[in-house]
Amino acid sequence: MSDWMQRIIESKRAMRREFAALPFGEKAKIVERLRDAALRIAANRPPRPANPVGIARAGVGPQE
Amino acid sequence: MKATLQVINQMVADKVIADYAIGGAVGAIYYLEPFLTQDIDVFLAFSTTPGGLIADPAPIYDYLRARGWQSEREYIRIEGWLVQFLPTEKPLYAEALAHALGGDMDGVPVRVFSAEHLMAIALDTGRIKDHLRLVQFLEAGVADRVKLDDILRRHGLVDKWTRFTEKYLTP
Repeated sequence: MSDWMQRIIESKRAMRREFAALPFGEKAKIVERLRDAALRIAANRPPRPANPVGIARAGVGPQE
Repeated sequence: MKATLQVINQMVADKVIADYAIGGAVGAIYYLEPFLTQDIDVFLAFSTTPGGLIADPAPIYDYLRARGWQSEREYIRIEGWLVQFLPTEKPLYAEALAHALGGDMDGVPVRVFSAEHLMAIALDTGRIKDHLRLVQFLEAGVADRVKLDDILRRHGLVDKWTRFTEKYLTP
């Protein structure tokens, strides 16, 4: 692994540690924002196509 | 979530439940970085009878519905959060409840499973997301390995732990 990649991974670990060290109340507020965003995305997501990859083999993938 | 915990604490004060502890994703978030979850798992020893513990959640749901909180599938929505009340039937869960730690959320008391018990439960449950959570716990370095090893040994999880480490932690 390159030094560059190693630094990125270390940076991400450090950021996760910082988030983990937040008070529980602060973390709960972040979780609530994540949850609300996920619900908004789900509410606005276009319907899934019935057969997104055009495969209709028996027992494989979405069936009509 | 703070308001939800206040309702749960009031249930303890009103003697609807004897004791509780948060497990699952929210329990893990107590120790780890926050991540998306939709519900709060509340573990408890259900109402007692002279014969011992029984798994009867009816008084809990009656109490909450009487205060306006609505059931949704196996959950009940309290102050915006889907809450699931779960029995501590397995010895591992009963021990996790007995050894839960007291914390607080902005001044509201909360009881949470220990990191070591959350890890053991994740290993025991064994879904992919549980294994990923275990990796998060290990990377965060929040668990006492001596305590974890003791829990794994006493609850027959050493083989599962060996398979987990071979699969996820062996380069």
